[in-house]
Amino acid sequence: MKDEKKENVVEELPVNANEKTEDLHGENLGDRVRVLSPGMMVAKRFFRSKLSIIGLLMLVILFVASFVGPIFSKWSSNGKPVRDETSIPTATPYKIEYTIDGKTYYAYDIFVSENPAYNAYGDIDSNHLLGTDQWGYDIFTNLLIGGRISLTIGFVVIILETIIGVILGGLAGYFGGWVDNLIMRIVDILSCIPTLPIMLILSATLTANGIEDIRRLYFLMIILTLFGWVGTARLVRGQILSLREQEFMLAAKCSGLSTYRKIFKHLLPNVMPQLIVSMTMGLGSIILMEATLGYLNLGAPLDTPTWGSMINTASNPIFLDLYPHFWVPPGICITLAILAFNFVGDGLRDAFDPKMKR
Amino acid sequence: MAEKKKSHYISGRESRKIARSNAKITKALEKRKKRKNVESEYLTEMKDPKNIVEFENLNTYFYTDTGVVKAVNGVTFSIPEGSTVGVVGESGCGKSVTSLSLMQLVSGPAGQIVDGSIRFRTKAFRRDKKGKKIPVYETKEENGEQVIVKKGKKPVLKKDELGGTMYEMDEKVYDIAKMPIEAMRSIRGREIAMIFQEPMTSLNPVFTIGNQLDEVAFLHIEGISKKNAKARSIEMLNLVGIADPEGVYKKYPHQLSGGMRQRVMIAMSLLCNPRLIIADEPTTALDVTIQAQILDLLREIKDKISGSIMLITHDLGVVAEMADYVVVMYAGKVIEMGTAEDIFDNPLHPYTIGLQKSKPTVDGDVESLYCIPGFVPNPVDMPNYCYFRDRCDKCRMECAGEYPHLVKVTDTHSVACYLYKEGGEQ
Amino acid sequence: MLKYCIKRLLLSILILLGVSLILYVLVSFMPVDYFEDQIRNSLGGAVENNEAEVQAKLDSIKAYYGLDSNVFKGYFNWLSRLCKGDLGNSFVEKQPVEDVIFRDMGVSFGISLVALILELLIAIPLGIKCACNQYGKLDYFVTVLTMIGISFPTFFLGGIVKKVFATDLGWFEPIGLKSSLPMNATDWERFADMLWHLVLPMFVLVVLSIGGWMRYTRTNTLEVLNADYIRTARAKGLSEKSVVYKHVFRNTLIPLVTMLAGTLPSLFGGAMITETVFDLPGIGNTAWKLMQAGDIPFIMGYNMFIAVLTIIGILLTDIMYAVVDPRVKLR
Repeated sequence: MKDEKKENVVEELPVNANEKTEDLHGENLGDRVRVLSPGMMVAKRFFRSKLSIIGLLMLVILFVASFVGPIFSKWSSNGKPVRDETSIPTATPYKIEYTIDGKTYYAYDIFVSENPAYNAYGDIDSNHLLGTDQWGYDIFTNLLIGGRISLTIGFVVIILETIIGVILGGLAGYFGGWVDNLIMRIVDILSCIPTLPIMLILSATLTANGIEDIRRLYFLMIILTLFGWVGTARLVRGQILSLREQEFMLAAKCSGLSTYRKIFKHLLPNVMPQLIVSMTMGLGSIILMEATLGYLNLGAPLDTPTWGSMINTASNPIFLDLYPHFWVPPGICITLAILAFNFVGDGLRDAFDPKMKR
Repeated sequence: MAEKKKSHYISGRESRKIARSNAKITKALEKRKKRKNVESEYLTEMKDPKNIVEFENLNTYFYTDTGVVKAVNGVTFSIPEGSTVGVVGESGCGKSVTSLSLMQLVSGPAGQIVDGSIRFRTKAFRRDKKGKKIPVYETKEENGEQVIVKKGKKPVLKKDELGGTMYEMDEKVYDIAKMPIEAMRSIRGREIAMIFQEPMTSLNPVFTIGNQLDEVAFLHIEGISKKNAKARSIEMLNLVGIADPEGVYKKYPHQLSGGMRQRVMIAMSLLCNPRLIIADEPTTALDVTIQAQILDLLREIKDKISGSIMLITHDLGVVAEMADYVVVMYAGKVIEMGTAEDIFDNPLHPYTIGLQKSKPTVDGDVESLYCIPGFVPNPVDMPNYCYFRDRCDKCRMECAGEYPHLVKVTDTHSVACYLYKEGGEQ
Repeated sequence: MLKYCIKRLLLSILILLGVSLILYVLVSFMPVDYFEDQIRNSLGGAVENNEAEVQAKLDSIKAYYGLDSNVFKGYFNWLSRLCKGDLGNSFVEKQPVEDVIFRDMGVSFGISLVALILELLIAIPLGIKCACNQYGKLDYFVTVLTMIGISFPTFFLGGIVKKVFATDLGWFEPIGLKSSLPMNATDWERFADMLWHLVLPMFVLVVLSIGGWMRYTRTNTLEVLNADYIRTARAKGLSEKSVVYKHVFRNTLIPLVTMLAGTLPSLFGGAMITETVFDLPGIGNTAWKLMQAGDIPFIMGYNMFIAVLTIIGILLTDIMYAVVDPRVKLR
């Protein structure tokens, strides 16, 4: 104990006895004090938690793999998957149901085709690290390309959501009155509409209108955005309402700043920390939403690999039971991505919020 | 070193080093606080039997991200029995931390009592060999002898006026700095009570006043009945001058004004007749008329319970009105102490003189109020020379040397400054 | 108080009107041939013979929803029927929508309620423990576990659990709520059988939402632990245990109870994905199937039902605030 304490005793200032007293005032006690810069304080608190570091690492790996990985895969060209068209006899499974003494039994049988057009249900080997799917696409490559699309959807949606949320929430919070009332009622209405059923309806509409190709992805992003900005708007409005009452805003008002300056220089920077945290967490939930829609067969078109459309195979009992390598890898990727965003978001929240430090 | 000093920011490597050493030190200290309760480890003797508390070389540090903050750095003073000691200083000078150290309430794991001792004279339970408290039995005189009254075969326990079981007590001196938290609990609230600075937030908002007052009685008076606890609480509310004690008893804290809440806090601190009340800036958050009332109340109460008060404040007026002894602190150190007359009539330390000058007076013909130049230094990595040196107008050559020791100018009056020598002014 | 209630009620009705309008407009976007397909599918069999029936049904749907005329006219039509308490007949189930909802709601509610109770029983004590030892070993461990729990997509966890514990190990039943038992099975056996089927779905539900509760408890406890009145409680001489379980817990309870009140109504709405994965006969599963079938009356009815539940949740939250926190008065 005693030894450790000595470490903290600061070495004495070398004093020249001939120095004049006035010179002693040259070095102020305050100059000795060194603090962390605000940015570093946040970074330090962020990196103190091992979880945030793990989350960040996972994100970096996922991003590099999805955005750089496909280039090196021979089963992709220009970011599109390429079908393995070697003709290898394939065994297509199908389910048989039979009843004995009123009890229903299930069994799987296979249908062997001798000369198929492509290598479906391919085995895991050096050529296909995770085998091929039912259409003869390399699952591993699909995973990488799918990651690229899923992550892009996540980013596009969260940025759109944030822009709409900040503008509308900011307007509501700053101006109050009827603007606030109108925007918040819209927010109330949108948050009362159940998301998943609405997605089902809209998706059915898209299918019925024959939108089955890549355009479906754009619509998907728009729909996700339209129902996602509500949370951001609430957050921004709440923050601005409480900030507006604080003294520094009164000071800004007294110094005759323009409304624009007040909002963008004084209010928004104060909302930024919470916004960044909610964006990080939101990314995870958008990826989850995309995956859920994919699982329900409502997301991206099946020939566009996204993590969501890949995990759709799990809804088919045959694939669920016999081909776990179809749906477990995308499932793991989705989970890891959400986990990473949650870890980072959590770390950021702790880092931004000085109150949480005990 | 010189170049590093220019930068106001800590590098990543340094901060990691700080974090690592902090974690190591605080972990060891936390473990020590939670160790098993062995009385002999913290039993000591008073230097002066007239004192009730003696701080000696108390060091309380905060292990923060930017380095070790020596909030209390070798503080030595004592509180005589039945007196009021005022501790004065600017905010951040360590006066609150000193009082929290006395209660072992410094918020861990960052804040820790690192070294030194706080001796406190307390009434402690006498314990038998098994460590159980020994109760007092009812006695009566029979044939000129004291005989324990028995009911059937069981001896009858003696009850105090509140119906609490009485135990045999000893006068003991404990070193609070070395006590484990568990042992500390029987002193908190019973022997030392504390009144906090913020009456608005110091009461739990979800419990009624009565609930929170009774809690103290239930905790420290064993076997007290609900009815008696309530009676005691209401008696205390009455004592602190609350007009409608029965009504207030049933109210929630948010239904009371700040002054009322502070009265409730005082009532709470009085419940167990403590020997020492620590009042940590009790009037700072209140407006002036209420301040005066609360101070009057404190003075009245001190006489009633014949205890001592440690009054922490930055308001010299309050100290002048209340205190018998005054301790002036600056940046974690005691720089001057003495009786109230010593400090107010004959301040010695340039800082104390500055403080006096910066007090507004009505009759004075000063043009503008004096103001001590500069700021209190941030106590991270403090150098070992007089901390007031940069702000001092009487700075001399010696001041570049190591930190001056407290010197006794008179019997009661000590000061830590090179301007003065033992036994009188130089 | 009365004024407050009336104000809230009016606001709720306004919100519900907005919700129903948006829903109606969206549903009206669903093209009619889509319904036609759905009707053909739902009627099944020899479609050619049913051509007249299909046409008749289609016309009636169009008329009912006002799809044959102006959207808004149709909307007011629907609204006026709703005011009379008529949600229409589900055309897959061929019975009133409210009957379908109330028929399947019980199972969903039972499952969700038990899962919620289990979650709370585990999450709250754990959250408080973690907050008291912030950055301790237990805190890290539990945080990591719950974070993983939060991050799992429902269907993925469900799929894995089903594959491992039902298909491969054969310990539990993969789907449904009951297996075919002999006719003379006792009630107890039937009940045990049902429990057996529920183990996996329960597990999935609990694992997925326990993390949220735990984090919420932890954050709120941490906030309370830093409060001044906790220092006062310690200064009284209370043991750490009574400080935490009396003074801290009672304050942590305020946000917890209000959040709980907010989630209660949603218990009735069913867990759509979990029920689908495990093919449980709950409202969520039914909703999923009927929505896929394009059952418009049901889509409208079910979504309005969920919206009403959400609004009740918000109302309950506000009311609970006033009940648990003595400082809050409803205005």
